[in-house]
Amino acid sequence: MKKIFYLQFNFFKKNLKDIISFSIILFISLILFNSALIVNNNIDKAYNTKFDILNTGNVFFNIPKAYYNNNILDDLKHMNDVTDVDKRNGIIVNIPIMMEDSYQDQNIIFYNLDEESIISKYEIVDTNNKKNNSIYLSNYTFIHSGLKLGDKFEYKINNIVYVNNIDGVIEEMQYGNYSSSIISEYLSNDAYNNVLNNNPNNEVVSIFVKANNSEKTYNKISKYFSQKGINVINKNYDNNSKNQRLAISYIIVLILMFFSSLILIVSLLVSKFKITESIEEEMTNMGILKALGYTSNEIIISIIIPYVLSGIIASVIGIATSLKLVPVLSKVIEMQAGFIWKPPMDILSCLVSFVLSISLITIFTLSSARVIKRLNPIHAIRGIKNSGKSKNYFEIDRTIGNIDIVVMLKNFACSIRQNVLLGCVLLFVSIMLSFTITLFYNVNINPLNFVNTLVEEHPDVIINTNKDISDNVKELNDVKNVIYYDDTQTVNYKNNSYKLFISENYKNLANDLCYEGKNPDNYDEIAIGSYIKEKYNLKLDDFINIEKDEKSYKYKIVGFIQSVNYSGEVVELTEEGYYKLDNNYSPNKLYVYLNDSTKSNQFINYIENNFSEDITSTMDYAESMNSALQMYISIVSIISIVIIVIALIIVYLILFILVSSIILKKKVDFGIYKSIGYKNNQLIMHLIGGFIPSIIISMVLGIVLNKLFIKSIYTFIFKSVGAYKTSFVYPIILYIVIGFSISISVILLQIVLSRKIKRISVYSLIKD
Amino acid sequence: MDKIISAKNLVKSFDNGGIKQTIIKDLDIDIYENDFTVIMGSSGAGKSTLMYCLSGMDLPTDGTVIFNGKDITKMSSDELAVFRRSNCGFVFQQVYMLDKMSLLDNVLTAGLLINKNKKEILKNAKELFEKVNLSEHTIRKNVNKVSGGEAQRAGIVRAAINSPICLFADEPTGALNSETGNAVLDVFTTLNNDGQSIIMVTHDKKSALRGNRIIYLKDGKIFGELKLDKYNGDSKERNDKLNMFLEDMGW
Repeated sequence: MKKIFYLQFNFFKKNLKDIISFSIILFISLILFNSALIVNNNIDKAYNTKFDILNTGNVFFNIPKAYYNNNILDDLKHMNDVTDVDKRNGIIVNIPIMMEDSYQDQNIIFYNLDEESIISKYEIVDTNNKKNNSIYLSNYTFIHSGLKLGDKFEYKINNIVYVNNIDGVIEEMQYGNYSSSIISEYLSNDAYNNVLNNNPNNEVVSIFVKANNSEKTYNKISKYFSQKGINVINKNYDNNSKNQRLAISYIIVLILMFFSSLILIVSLLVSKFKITESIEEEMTNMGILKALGYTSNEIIISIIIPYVLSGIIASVIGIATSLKLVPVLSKVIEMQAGFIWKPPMDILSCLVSFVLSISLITIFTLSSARVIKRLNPIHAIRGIKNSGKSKNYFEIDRTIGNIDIVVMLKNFACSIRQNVLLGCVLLFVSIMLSFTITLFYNVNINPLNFVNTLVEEHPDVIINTNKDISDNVKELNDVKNVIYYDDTQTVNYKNNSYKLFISENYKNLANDLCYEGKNPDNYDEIAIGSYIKEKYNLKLDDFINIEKDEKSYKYKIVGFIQSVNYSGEVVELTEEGYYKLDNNYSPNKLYVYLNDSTKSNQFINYIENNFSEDITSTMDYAESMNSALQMYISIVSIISIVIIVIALIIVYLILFILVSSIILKKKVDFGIYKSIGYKNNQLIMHLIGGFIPSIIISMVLGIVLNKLFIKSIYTFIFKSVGAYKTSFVYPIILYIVIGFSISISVILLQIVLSRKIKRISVYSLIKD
Repeated sequence: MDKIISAKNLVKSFDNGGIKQTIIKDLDIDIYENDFTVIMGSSGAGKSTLMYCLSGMDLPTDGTVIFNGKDITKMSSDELAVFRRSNCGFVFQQVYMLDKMSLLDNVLTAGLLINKNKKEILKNAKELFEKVNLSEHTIRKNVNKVSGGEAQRAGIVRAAINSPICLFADEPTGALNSETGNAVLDVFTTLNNDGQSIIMVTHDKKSALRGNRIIYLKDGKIFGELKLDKYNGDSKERNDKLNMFLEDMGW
């Protein structure tokens, strides 16, 4: 066994730099993989736990206070599946509030801090215990406002400015972030009454329902309110709300899993490559050991142990580091989800990551080292490979081209394995970078693509009117287009309530939600959301009966639409179409599109000054969107930088392994070339030239695969959060630039790494 | 005869674990055209070191080496590489042939460096292969498919393909059996008779007999020199002269 240990030690020492490189790649992979696994395995659990602790309602509705009477709670309590109900008064407003250094229009529901409910409780997560003219901000608003406890929080409702002290931060699980369309803020009794006294018409009753089947109950209650003629201001149920709040964390998990898998494959390829290379280098020693009587298994173990051991160390350090990364990720998730998530020490996830990584390394290294079993001791001692392949590729006198090109071709033919490894790695890196740069391009450079994918219609300004002013507005300078668009109504299908979008002309909208078929053009046409399509297995040209109160009408399905915010539980009708359900309907939500979105604020001032009699409120949607986008832009910028750095590290390490291994292997050859009269630069050129085919092939293949499949990857990821149609663009020029940039970087890195050929004298090359 | 190499005050030292070890000590030597110069000496006398310094394969610590009118000690690594292409040919003790190439490709790899005419180089190579008795079939075999002697003879062809000013051979028969060694030496003799200047390092008397100038090194200096006629087959007289010289040198 002493000889085996000696061989192991010798092998480890000789391949130290390569083993370190392999370990670094594995380490990076494990950081990402384990982080993704921990987030994936715990975020839902954490959400659900907090949901249960706060006894959050499964279904929640906001109705105007004027419509509320005590019978409602009784009626709801007696419904099947309903286990408990509760209510709380609130004030709903749409106001600009401080977000990301600017004011952003938000739907806010103010609650009285002193009015507690049994269902859908709130939790104070930070406070200075003051309750005088106080506002307790939701965690989401608190994070994005950039304000601190004790700071003043200023907002304006109907031209009255309110200034409260930020005396606490709260968490609740039914509203809570931008995607949930309403954010709840809590005011101290005096502050609440102050707002209420000035805005009695905005008072609502929030009804919280605990139910066994939330979706069914949601639909039942929607129908109930519809039948009672009660206008529901806002409604939602648990799963929908959860999906809205955790959408970004799901995307983060998918991206991390995707990248970590690619990097793990790279590390496995490296281990396989190095084992195969080492067997060739150590063949004589292995032959001697076999001749001495050591079994193949003993020798195999001695070869794979250094990799498995360093794999164990890298995995442990990677997993430990991931435990430091997860809190950082949790902050990013917290920014979007609006609830504090303290990641637990998830032993099970760590164990799964560890076992998976070590099992794969063992399988890969074992499969590579098994060739030792077929090694003939005598042949091994003489350094003869079992395969006996020693073909003279590209015979010089029979190959066209000058000597340098032929030598490069020979180098390529003799280093197929290295080329395959480099090709695979470059391909993976190309996919990684293309994926990231595509995200960067569509979020940071052309954010409209990102917005169109994840949100519904997004004008620059929304004007709620009490008189048709569309023609007047259309005539104004800087106005590109105006259109009535309504997203406040609901309709029923098969006793279930669905969000309704109404537009006079879908062709004039900025964001086409339709992913199959078309938007409705005629009064008898309807487009339905992905959720409804799948739930009832509906097809294009099917007819469905839509109900609203006591009326119903049969529409022909002409298209399928997406909606991330409403999880595909939406339908689209034309104005004419909606008249069939409500002939008193009068559109009053005017969407305005400006030539220059940055002038939305000026435009609103103009409208408020000149049409004050005809409008009830305005909303600076462009500014709100822009503020919300800043968060995503920052996240994507960070992701892009991290991925580019990881890609560079991987490419550098792989090239280091390949170039070092070739220089070591061909040291004598280089000496001979030099003695013949070849210059250093020629030898460097030969070495690099030997990799050119794999660089070119991986570049071309990368461009083609990226063009073909990056879209599919994004479609898959976005589909998981309900976006069936991504508005991302995938410009081939982007992938061509990435392909060329990788290739040029690889060649430059190779030049740098292979410069060590220069430092070795011809004499020492031959004498060593 | 014309001097092709002239070395003055040649010093070569190595750093041996912090201790400076001088192998060549202030040595002067001239090498002449068409000579078959043999460098002999005991182990560690500096034979190979001297040869590699003279050829520009290694740079001396001090002193000058004028090779074909140029001071090669002032040249950069790449300048030396270009210089070696047409001025030097090397045959090593080990069969240092390019791995994964045929014998012919090994030769063409050297030949095509200075002559881009593939046909002409191929013709020259085949003529040289014929001289060293390697058949068309053999020269297309890979290095690891031929015997040591065949590979070494191909090594000589590679060294001679560019008709260098001087051909350097470091113990060229050291790794070969007697019969194969003789065949290799015959090739050197033939080349020398055709006008090729050769410097050969050896500790083998039989190999040394092929030279017409024997230089004996001791402790990094030239200890003695013997001039012989051109080799025309082994003779008792030649043998005795060499034996006597080596005896005087303390061989």
